[in-house]
Amino acid sequence: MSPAIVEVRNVSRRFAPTPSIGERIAGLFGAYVENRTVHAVDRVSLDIAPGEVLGLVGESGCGKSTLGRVIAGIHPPSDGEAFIHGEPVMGGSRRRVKTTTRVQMIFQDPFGSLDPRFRIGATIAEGPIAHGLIRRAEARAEVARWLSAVGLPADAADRFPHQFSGGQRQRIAIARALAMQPDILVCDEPVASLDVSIQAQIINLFLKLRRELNLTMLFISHDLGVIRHICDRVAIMYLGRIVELGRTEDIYTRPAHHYTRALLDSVPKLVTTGDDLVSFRPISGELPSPLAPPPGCHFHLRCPAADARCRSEAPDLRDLADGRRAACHHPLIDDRT
Amino acid sequence: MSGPLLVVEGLTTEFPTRAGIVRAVREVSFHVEAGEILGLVGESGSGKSVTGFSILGLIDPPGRITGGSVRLAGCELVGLPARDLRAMRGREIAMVFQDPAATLNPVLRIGDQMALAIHAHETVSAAAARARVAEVLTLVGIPDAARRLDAYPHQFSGGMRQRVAIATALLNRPKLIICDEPTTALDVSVQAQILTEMRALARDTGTALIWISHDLATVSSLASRIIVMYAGRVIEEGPIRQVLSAPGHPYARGLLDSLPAKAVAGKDLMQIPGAPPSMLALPPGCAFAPRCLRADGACDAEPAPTVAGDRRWRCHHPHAEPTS
Amino acid sequence: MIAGPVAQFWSEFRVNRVAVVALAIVATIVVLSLVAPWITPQNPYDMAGLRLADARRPPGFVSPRTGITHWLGTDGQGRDVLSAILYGLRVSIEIGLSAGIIAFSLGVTLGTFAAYLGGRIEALIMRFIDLQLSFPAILLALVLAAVLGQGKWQLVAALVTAQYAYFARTAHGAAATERSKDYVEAALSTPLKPHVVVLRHILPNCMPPLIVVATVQVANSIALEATLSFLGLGLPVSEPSLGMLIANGFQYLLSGRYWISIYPGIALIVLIASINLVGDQVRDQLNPRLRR
Repeated sequence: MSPAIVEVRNVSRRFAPTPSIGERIAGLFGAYVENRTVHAVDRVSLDIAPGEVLGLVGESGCGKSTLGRVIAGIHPPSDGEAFIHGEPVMGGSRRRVKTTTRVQMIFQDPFGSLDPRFRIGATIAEGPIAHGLIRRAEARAEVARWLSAVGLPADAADRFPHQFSGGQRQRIAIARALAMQPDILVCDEPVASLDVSIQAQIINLFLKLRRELNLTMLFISHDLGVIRHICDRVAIMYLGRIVELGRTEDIYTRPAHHYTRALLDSVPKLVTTGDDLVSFRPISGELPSPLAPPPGCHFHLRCPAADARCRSEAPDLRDLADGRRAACHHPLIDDRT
Repeated sequence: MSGPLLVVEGLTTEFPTRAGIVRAVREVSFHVEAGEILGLVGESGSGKSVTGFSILGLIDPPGRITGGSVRLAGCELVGLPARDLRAMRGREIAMVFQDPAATLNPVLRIGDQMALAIHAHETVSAAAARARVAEVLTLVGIPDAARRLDAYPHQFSGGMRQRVAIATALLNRPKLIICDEPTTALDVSVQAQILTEMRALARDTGTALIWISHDLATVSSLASRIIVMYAGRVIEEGPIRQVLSAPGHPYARGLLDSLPAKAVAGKDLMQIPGAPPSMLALPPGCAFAPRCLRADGACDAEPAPTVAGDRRWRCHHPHAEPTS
Repeated sequence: MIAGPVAQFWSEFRVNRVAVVALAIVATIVVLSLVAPWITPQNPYDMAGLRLADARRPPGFVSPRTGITHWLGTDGQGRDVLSAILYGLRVSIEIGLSAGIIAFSLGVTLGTFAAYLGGRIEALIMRFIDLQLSFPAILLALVLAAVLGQGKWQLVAALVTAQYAYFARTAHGAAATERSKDYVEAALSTPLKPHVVVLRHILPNCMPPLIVVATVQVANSIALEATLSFLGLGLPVSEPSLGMLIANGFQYLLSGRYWISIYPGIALIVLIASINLVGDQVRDQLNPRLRR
């Protein structure tokens, strides 16, 4: 395997709401103030190779979006570091700011991610001009080039975001990210808020761009069908930790972690024949609150194979057969031995 | 008489806007049998939710139902006075919405607000109401229900809140529950739990469901019949397995074929070109024609419904020939 | 080019006839007051041109001494009331507008700065502003006008102090909302420099509520200035604003010489009401909840 473009090393991201004045005063008098620190991402490490599409899957609150934002340089990590080509994504020491332009992001909501007061052309050209990638005189041609790459006419540049549908806006957001000529694209649920018939168009666009530009992507989604379709490898997250990492086909056909298997089983499949086929099986129990995840393996409360060890000792992500890694004491596939 | 539970005929709902009149639901006709689960599928703006609201008489002015009829067990609901509609809502038909947070009152205890829904329709003692509330909460899979009656909505997770909303709908044992994307905001593992429980509920209580969703896979593992809507019209209707294995309308077929499950991983998906039309500027004739590969001159005229056995579609050039 | 937000805004504004008429009135008043020196029959500030013999004449009086027709009568010093009103409007608008602009700039800078920085600085600025908002604006303005003394710029300073807090709080609320939107995160992750993000993206999107507050606050500062002048805390007597004209005529009101007070009063009411009507329409148009 060629050296990784993206290296995520032991990244954690905590969110601690600042206590209100009332709580601080109550705390001074010895009252119990609830600790509301959320470990959104808990010591995660992963690599992304050039030209690879890595899928990041999990349920809401598992930290997949937060991890994506750490890699895209929107949130600084609380611990650890994300590197692009060996350089940290965030520079500065006290107040950390993003310094690299090599990673760009695409957001879930195409209605919120474009400045409503900017014409499309200005939106796309703003970043490249600010960073000297193109000169102002070249902007029009450059914008037209990227608009055509995402399947929009050149005259879209003179219009405003509200004149476009959700699918078209997502294309514009993709063009804006590509115009920065990034090495890696972080896509946070880029098709989740689109209609079914438009989803397929945007997925096809990603496939085309990937073929033509040899794009490297981190593709975040809760939709297991979409992930399976466009990702080479998949990382499954549960309550801030990566529980399984491996090649897409391997994971979907032979999951190693009990959570992965339960998650795959819980998705309703399209049933076209037969009567009343049970196409899915729910996971027992409820998703624990991210404020107070269970000790040991976070999944042990819902896991059929959990024993005493799982309740006390958090499993590390370790190597299993066929290049798979899973954080489980009792994996469903063999050890590498 | 043992006709269908709900008969909707020629239902049309319009919303006047500054830019013109939006006919969100156009001459929609279908029926629901007692105890049946009917899937109502469409994209945003297809009119599927407005159809649900129209059945319940929940269209806010200036929007209004401008034509057609909705009969529940033979009783006409369109044009019914507001107080009769209110009396019917909850007792005969109930609705479950996509966002459970918006339907629960944050400052009332779960048990108390559910009891209010009982008292709205009948006079029972507080203890009896509480017992019934605990009973339906258990029915929708809330463990230790009796003890959680005094909890507030914010103490429940999203999935639990949606269960409470479903339980509230069940309180007065309605004949029909309209579920508008009830699992869309939920995680897959929670969705699977709720789907399983809804299916068991419909079977055990004999309540009919209209399940409004954009997700064909979910509908396929729940409903026995399906209706597909596009631009305010029902474009296809039929038993779910038949429709999903051999869709007649090119739009229904396009939707199915565009699912990643239907393609080889990494290869392009089949895609429907273009985007749904603006409801303010519908093309003449078949609204799907501009995106349809089979469209020709005939499609400039609105296709009439073709009926073949249990199946029905509105298309001049359907994929499957009608078989009975 | 496709119609931008401004053209679109105007096409919606046009629908409300009342607001269009109000806007026309505001524009007319502003233009009239601007060209006052060239159209008024008399310069009311020129003491030498005033004839005491012409004092307190009713509307329509033609002076045999100067030959001027006093359409709205004359005041206690023989000033032509119409000329005094137009000159007074000039002073009122000048003070109201300068106070509004300065309060806007100061308040918006503070509010946006606080929202962008967050943390302790935000808490400090916003708590101070909350504290100030808990006092009535008129009280603050009265105290300041009394302390600073008479004069145009002293008056503006008093008005600004009384009003910037409204802008700061509105700007803070709007900027905090915009700050959390995806397009701001997109701009920060490009990455664009923080000041570019604030000036080019956050601030322009905070404008709608600020424009509404600005229209209302300009009307308020005109009213506040009139109040202060009426109470004798405003401008020197030699340069009467509308408030002082009303105050001057007040003593004659009960003796039947209504015109000295009433006409300046009507001018003030029409101006303030018109600005508010325009402001109402702007607010309705920019309120997302009233939109389709």
